[in-house]
Amino acid sequence: MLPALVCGDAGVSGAVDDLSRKYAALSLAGDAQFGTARVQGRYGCLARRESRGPPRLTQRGRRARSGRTSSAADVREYLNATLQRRIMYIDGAMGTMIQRIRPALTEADFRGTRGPRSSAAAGARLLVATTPVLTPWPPAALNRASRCRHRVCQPPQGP
Amino acid sequence: MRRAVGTEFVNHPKDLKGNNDILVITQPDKIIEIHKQYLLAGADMVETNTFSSTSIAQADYATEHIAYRLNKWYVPPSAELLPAAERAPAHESAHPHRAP
Repeated sequence: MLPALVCGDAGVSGAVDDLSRKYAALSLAGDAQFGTARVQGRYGCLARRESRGPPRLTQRGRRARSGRTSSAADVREYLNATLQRRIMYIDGAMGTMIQRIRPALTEADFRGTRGPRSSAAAGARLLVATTPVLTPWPPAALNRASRCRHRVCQPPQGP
Repeated sequence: MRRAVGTEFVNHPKDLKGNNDILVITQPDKIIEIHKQYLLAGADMVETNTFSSTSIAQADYATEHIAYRLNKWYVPPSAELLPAAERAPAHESAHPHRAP
């Protein structure tokens, strides 16, 4: 189905945050699922689940859907086209998913005392699961402490 | 000088349990797996695991110094990396978020 956009990269996440805010009004979800709820989007597009016909995607929209690119404009276009056709919503639900992990995560897990400890193993898995093209951040930098000199970015002193 | 991913917080002075955002560093597999589940279920987008990745929220765990990194590091997996057969059907279907 579609391209997962979103990433921590500053250039893209700014745009995505912006889009998230714009479409926050659409996050009603549940009630609309079986109804004919109409949602007025920011751009005046009517998102209706029952609407027929494929969304009209421009070339840029198709590219976004294929997942080959994730520029802010592509994402915007994909969202616009999809919202003409159905309701989309954003709800992380990450906390409950983490709570559902079995065996439940322990203090040791949060500390990384157990699990993937070697940078090679963890780094490789991260690389496999992420798309390097989405971020200019070099993998090697993953192991580097923040270069920020601000006080709050410095590690705590003491044990 | 490189620091091994995942060993940085072994001797952290405060409890880290409950600091879900730090899992992208200490348990990246777990977070990746959850994001994959979302994608397999047909999600259009997945968000970064950064709900409390601010210096203020991280201060609860004395990890405010990693707020920057938490926001910078992790890029969720994207749908095209999943084997085609595992992906949810195109969203034009009548019930885009339901399995056929």
